Amino acid sequence: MMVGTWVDRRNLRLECQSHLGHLPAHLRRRTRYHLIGWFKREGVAVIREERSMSSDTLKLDEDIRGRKEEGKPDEGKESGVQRERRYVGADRPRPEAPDKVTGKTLYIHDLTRPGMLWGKIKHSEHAHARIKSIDTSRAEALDGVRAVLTGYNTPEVRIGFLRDNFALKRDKVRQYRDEVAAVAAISPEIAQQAVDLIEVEYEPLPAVFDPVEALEPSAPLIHERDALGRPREDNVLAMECGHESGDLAAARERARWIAEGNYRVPVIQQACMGTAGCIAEFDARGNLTFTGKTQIPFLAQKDFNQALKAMGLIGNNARVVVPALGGAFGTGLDTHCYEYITILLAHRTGRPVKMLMSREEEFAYLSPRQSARVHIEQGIDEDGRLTHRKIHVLQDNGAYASWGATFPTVMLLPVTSLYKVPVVHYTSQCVYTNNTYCQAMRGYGNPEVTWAIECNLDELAEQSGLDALELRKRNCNEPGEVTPMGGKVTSCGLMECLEVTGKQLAWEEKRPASQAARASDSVRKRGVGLASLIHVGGSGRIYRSDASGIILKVDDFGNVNVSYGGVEMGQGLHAALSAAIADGLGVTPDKVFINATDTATCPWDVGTHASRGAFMACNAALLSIAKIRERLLAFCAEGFAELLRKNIQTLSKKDASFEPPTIDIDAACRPDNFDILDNQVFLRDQAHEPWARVELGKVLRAMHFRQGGDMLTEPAFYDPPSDLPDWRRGIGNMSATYTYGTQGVEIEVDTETGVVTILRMVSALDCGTVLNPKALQGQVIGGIAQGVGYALYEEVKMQEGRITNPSFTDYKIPTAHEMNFPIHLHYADTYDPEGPFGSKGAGEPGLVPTAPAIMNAITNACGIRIRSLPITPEKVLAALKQR
Amino acid sequence: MQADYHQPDTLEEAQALLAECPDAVLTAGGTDLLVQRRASGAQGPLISLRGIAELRGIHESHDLMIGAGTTLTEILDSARMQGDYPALIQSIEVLGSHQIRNVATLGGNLCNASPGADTAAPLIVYGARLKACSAGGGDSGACRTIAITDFFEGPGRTSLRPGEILRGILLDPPSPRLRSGFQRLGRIQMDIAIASLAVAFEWDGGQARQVRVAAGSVAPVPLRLQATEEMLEATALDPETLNKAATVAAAEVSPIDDIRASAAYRRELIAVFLRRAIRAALEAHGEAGGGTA
Repeated sequence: MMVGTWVDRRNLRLECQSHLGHLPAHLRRRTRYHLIGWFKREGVAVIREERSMSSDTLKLDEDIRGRKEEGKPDEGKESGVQRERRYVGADRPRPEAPDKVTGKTLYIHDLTRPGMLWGKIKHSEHAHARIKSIDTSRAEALDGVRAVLTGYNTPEVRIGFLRDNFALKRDKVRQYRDEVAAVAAISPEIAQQAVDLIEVEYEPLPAVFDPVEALEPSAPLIHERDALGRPREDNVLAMECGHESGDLAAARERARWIAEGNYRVPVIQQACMGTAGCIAEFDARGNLTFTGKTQIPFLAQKDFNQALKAMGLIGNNARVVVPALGGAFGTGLDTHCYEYITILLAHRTGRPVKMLMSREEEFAYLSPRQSARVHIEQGIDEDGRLTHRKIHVLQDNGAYASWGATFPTVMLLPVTSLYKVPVVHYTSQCVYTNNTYCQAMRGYGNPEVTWAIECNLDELAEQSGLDALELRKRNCNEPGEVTPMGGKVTSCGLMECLEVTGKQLAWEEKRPASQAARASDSVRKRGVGLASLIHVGGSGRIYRSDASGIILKVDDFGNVNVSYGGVEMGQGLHAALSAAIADGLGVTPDKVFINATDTATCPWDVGTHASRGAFMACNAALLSIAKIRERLLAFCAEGFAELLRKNIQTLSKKDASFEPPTIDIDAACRPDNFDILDNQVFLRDQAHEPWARVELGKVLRAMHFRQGGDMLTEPAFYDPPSDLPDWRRGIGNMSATYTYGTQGVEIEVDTETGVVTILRMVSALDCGTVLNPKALQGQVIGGIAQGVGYALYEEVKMQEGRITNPSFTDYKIPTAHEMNFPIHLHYADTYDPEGPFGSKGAGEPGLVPTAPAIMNAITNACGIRIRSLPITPEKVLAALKQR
Repeated sequence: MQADYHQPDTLEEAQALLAECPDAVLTAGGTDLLVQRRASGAQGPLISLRGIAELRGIHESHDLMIGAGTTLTEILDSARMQGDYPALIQSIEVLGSHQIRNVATLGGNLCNASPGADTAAPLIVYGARLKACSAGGGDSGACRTIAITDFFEGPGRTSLRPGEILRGILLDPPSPRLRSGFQRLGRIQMDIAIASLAVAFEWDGGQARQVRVAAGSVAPVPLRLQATEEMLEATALDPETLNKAATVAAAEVSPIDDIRASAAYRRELIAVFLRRAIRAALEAHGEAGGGTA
């Protein structure tokens, strides 16, 4: 099976132009924003395809049905669901797309409340300093100001999973963005004016900005005490994640070639099109409703409930509502100081308070993706098989602990399981500094360490003379394998991904030709390179519960109302979920209505991360659907015959030529003879008879409006078959299945300017069944765009802890110009036994191997190796000169 | 961001308004100005020149005048400009985005006086003159012509006097022997230039005459490189001369380290750009410099 598309270079620009008129007004105004980013992040497909995918998609569907019949074990959760598949796998537009492209979607930026106030924050002007005094008197005296808060006139609200951060800081600041005071006022302008009137006196402290220096015994302590008040002695976080399997000394003996190196990745920004913001409002009983940008409504509810308790609101509840999101990419995985401050302001004033981040504020004050320094050593034996992999990761955590501190736990999977490697030694260390503290971003941990693993593999290939593709094939993962961390490989299409990528790149011809041409005196040199990925494909268990709950409610009109606690943030979750429900239940997708994510109405979900959205939501929905179908068909066994008789009566009246059926209707209404399709319940053995089918809503009404009536509302709770790893030992099958992929790229290096131009790319992905080719294409190409940014352009620059490029003028992400190259997409022919309809998670993988693939191609072109991202023209030119 | 906003219909009205409130800031496309004001929080009054028809359009008499309020897209779309001033066209093609070019004006790009103003270097090598008018002037009265090399005084500073409005950009009609070209690099395409360079020269029987070279983003103002010009004057633009001139050019600029690139890298780019701009200018006419392979 092959689903292929080429991005047409000429049309991309035109398409972008022609979409302009449909941009929401607030985006049309912002002409400096990157259009491609908007399209990418909103998932509007702008990439015209050279040929339609529909025929391939159909073929895919047939393949899978064929294979299922050949004896794919029926897991039960899909029982009664294996019928004609019309919407899963079909190239359908997303249900939310019309509202988005016509500007009707309401983001946090659009929402308002009667009597609402605006919040603004006063941030630290030092990287590390004692707060000597805060004078808020001038701010309080300003007309229109309703509250001025500091750490000294509010309850202490501790935040973060290590409880090392505070909503408002007291005593000292540890980074430039630290929140020292906040204002609520009747307009954002007045709030900002008031913030500017707040005077803070500081006593600067010695600061540390380099994680290696922060490890020195003489380094200033960022936190003098831990959350329990015990004195701390160093800046190392109390986090342990590592792995040790096999005899390293023996493996080194066995190795014929060993390559080692230090690799670095910078801090980068998630750069969501929709900036962050929230509205907090209290009812008269002290219960909070929080509307804001989050990917973890239920964990946020828990965090906010803890805050309410700290505020003296014992027993009160936080309800979390998620508005439409313009991308999240991990920014919504933790709760943030600004959110707690908004809650404090709303509570103090008794009015709804809104806080909205401008682009520049988001760059300066929110948590970006964490940097990493990776030391790696890998060896191969005489046959090119990996003997060992030894990795140490040092992380600059910044001033407080958020999910950046947990990157090593995500790295565990690629470190132990990308390719077959028998001996793995992995250690990690996370250190406090006075830099900005960091958070999650798409695939977090994985691209950072895959950069090191895949570049280092090419160095091994170079050393040994073995072809880099062949080296990877010899160590390729395969189904049935149990990886050193205990990862159970169920489906695995990595070999196919490698082979297709090689073929599409014309690897066998171009790789040696480019290498041979390195010495030529041509200014522009071309090269090909590739890199692979492994990622969690069946969610990733990082909490005791890794579940997703769902409620399906079928109403009197045959509509399916869905309450799901996961978050649609532009990734296409609703497209996948509505198709799964439509096919699973037998309705058309327009009958599926997915409610806003709301902790009050949706069942618990751990959060939308780890590429788990579609995998979890669809699996939960299939469990619910199985129950609905069972109950519906049980009712039909009693009540369908009567409905059919009414049908026959009506048809006889309407049409004189109608001949009533002669069969025994009661006998035909046996439980195994019902099915649902196209919003109709019908008798299987009379499927073509108009009298033998009844509209679903009618059946529901018959079930409802009777003595002892009932309706179909079915909750389901799906917790995937995976283990919570022992992080210290790095052991545990953390996902129900794993996604694989390979990306290949052909580039051209301008050896006079150092500029790297991408000529074309190949992405081969093993994510099982493709649920929606168009949505997946958006995910993959969007991921590649972020991967290209990571590889070539992006870096949050800091000078003594202060971010020096906090705007799109100074921080560059790729636009349509930089993405103006063909991308060949391929999806491996795999079917995952645990995945809904055989699919695996695909949200994050797109950006994981992009940077090393590009670097490996640059090496192929001109023999240089740069080990720190981004690969800027300056670095390339400097490396060329050193050669 | 709040400000008093005036949109006069004529140059005369604009000049009267400017006389009334001398602290007002003139705006045309606003693509640079509004971003700067948002960052600085400036709230002074704005006088928009967008509604003034006499500032727009490309007018031909004995020489060519581009109205200061002509949008970059209008210049790109002009067949005359495409044919006669390729270096200017090349600089506009890579300036901002479609949306920016649809509102940004040539006069605005110059008056903003960014060291990296993309259109400045090409206009310098074409010997552009700027026509500025003050109140009571209109087309007849208090207008003066400023050589473009005298226009830029520093980052954000021009030699326009208080009350003066840039009326238009004057260009000589090119001789058929004029060759010109432009080179630039940003971190991504839609970026302020790391460095840019324009050249123009008369190609006369295998010799370059009246060579002009100018560079952007490598000094406090868009800079004419006279030492480089002298190196190239009356030569056959052979590779050896180009290499020497490239070295001179790299030394003649005075770039700084900033968020986009280091000074050293900018110097290297200028050397590369000089060679490439000259080669491309000749190749566009199917020609090559002396001794080139």
